Amino acid sequence: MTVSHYYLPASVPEALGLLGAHGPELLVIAGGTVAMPLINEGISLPVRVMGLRRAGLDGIERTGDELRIGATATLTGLLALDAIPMLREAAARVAGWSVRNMATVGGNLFTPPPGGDVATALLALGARAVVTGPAGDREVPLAGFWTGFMTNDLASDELLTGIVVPLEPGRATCVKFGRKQANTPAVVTVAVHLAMDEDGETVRTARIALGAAGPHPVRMARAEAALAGTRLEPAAIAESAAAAAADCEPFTDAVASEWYRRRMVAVFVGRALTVLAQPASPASGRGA
Amino acid sequence: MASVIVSFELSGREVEVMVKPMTTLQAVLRTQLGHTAVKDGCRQGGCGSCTVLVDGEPMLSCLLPVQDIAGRRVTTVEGLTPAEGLHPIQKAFLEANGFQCGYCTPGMVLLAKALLDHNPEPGRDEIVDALAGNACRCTGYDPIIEAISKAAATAAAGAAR
Amino acid sequence: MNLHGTHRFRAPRERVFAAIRDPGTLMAVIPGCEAVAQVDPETYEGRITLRLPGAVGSYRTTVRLVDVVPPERSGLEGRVEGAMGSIAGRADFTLADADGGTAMDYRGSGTIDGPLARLDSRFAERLAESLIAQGLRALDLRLATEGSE
Repeated sequence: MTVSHYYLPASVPEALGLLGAHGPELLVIAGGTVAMPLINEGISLPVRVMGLRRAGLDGIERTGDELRIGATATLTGLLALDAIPMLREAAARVAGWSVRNMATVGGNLFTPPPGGDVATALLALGARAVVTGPAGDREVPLAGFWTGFMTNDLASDELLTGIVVPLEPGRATCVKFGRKQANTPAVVTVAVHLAMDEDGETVRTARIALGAAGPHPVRMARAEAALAGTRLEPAAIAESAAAAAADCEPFTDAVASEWYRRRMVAVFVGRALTVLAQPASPASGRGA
Repeated sequence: MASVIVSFELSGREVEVMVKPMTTLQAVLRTQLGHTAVKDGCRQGGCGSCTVLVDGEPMLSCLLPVQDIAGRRVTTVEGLTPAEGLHPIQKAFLEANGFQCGYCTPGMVLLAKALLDHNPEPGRDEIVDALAGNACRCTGYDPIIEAISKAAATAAAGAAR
Repeated sequence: MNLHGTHRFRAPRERVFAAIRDPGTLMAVIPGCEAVAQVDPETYEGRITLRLPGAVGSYRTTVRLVDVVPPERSGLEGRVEGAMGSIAGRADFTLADADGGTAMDYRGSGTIDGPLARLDSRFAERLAESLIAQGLRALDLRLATEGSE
């Protein structure tokens, strides 16, 4: 191991102080599920590392109509929540039990493609990232947080400290397709949130987010527009799925080819919307 | 680089180790403390053979800097095994042929312990879900699932008496 | 590793070409760039620090301009080197007039050495193209803002 200093700050100000003192050469690690494999493999050779497990960022609290999730809250912590069943669905499909006890919600935003299933779900829920720097907090809608392949909006003296999720009524589901039934990276992940009209049957607005179909989780604007004003008829669903497949930018990696991913986007957007078109029941898996 | 001293609870006793910064719990348990039931498989978080319990919850020791668990309670299979005989979960694995080469077994046994502590009567789906992060190349998994069901049933029968 | 990309600039190609050769501009637009110095008319040396999930590192970079035909095209031969490994190769870009602005097309190939070589090369390609795209966007913005002053 190349590490000469491993810091475990006990507070956010202390963590920011360390970031300020050591700059962009300080490796920040939370659950360790992304960084430690790279370090163990000898691909990442950090000298100074800062772990965030003790910095007091692991709480989850509900304030009015919002859920404030600390950046180092674990995925297991998310599974204990009743407030947003769809977020539970997303977290439950990540890796295995031990990894979920370690991996953090904030860390999921930084997972290199094709990962980030919880991040995809958060994008569909209209979540915002809370970023803290020397000057204080700022909030960034998740869509603006990612700036490219493995790059994001954080300045070198800033930390992601939390995620805010609005609690909105509607219909929501998250579907992950992988090569295996469990403990598998995504071929494609689809997360949908629909806000319905007063009649409860017509879609007012839709948010469709895809994982593993772009450099980071992405919203599919044309696919969303295709649903507005519809009652999720098969034709509307087909149009939405086709738009998502055409507009996404999947990639080829060891898990799946671009060709296959694009086809699976169409299939799984279709399946997710078909589930949401059914009357709600425990069996429909339609956590709103 | 300066070493650091970390103390934590292992098998009911406090232990203290001196480590280079960011040494993993896996390396400490295997090479400094002789707990070789904690296996060294992929070091990527993919195989689960390094599974340990931290305050009763399963974690992957290959991804865990030992400094992160200072003051916490760590359980390995060595800590589960009584001075005489076998833990009921170990007995159940033996009776159900729940292992062949034995490499995945410590991880599976510890997961079983954590699962049954959370949920004394798990259904098959719940057992499968609990084991999803741990790979076995020998048994085809059914004997392991059997062993855990058996352990649960035996514990329930014992509790009912 | 093979790279290919295009970019549209609002500024005319004479300005784009000149900006690419200016150390001050390079320092401002290259992601993570901490230092750039022009050591001779065709050679630039610098340092880039990249912060990626799970890995941070500083890289010494050396780039030499070759086959320079302003404002049309140029080649860049270079080497990026750090603790995590090195990338050495050549990229060529062309600039064409496009509705008062500039259309750039670039192509490059390189070999990766050291720990970095253990990564899937497609991963490295996507990362490199993303960082280049970020730099080109920053350059476009800078030229557009300067032009309006």
